[in-house]
Amino acid sequence: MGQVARLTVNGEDHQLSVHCDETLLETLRDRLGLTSVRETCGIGICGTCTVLVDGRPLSSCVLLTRLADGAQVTTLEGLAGPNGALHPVQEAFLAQQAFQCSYCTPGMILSVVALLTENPTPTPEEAAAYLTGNLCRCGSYLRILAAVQDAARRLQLRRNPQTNSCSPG
Amino acid sequence: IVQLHAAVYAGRVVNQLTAALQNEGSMIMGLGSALFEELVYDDGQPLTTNLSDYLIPSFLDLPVTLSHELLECPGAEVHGLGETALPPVPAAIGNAVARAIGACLTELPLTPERVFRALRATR
Repeated sequence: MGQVARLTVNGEDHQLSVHCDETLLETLRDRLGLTSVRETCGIGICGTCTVLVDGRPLSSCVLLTRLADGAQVTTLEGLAGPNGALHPVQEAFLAQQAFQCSYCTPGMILSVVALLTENPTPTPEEAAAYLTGNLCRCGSYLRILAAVQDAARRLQLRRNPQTNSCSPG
Repeated sequence: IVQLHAAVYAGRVVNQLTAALQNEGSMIMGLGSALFEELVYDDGQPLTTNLSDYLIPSFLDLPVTLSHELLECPGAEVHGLGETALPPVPAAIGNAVARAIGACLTELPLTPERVFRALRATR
């Protein structure tokens, strides 16, 4: 027996008939084929399944789709630009090699996007505290913190293309 | 942990960044096995069955400084780095604790309860 949930996922509107106990993780991954959304603990602890719901990073494994009715959802697939250009946070992760097995990476990138929206110039301590809910078994934490600083610079340059912290000559 | 340092023999390093990642990751895994990770069983039934009970290091568990060296030797062969930096970490932390409290712990992880009991046993 289904109930209707209206979601905008990565800019696309969906009207779905979902079970009352269907989680957003199941809807995004199994129903909509967005396989960047992954499950690890299934109990909202590890952050692997993190997606942005109206800009907020949430664990999709413990969010009932029915309760996300009307929300704008962003997964990693929705970060790249319309011409396929990578988001500055994605570019920073690549430049800093902020991953090993990359299983935590989609959730981590989305959390960093949310972090830099809230706080465009976080200190490493602020970044670490914000990202505590995203576990990385491979221990790429130091590279991820480097990627946060790199992404902050890239986003700053995007906002102010004329002002550049590099000194001329 | 305030300061954690590892020097790892790496033969000939082909990819500096990846090798550094290997070391950092291994050291953080070693931190986990030293301080947090424990499989607990009760009559054969596992009790630590999810990440809520089996604790792995998060961002906030990083040492204040974590550093490492990749020791190369000219003419050495290229070989896998693996998780070489991992096993010495619990040993190093165990030694640091033993020096601090004057008693050796012989069980991992070095939980507060185990440290407390070892401290009490020295009196």
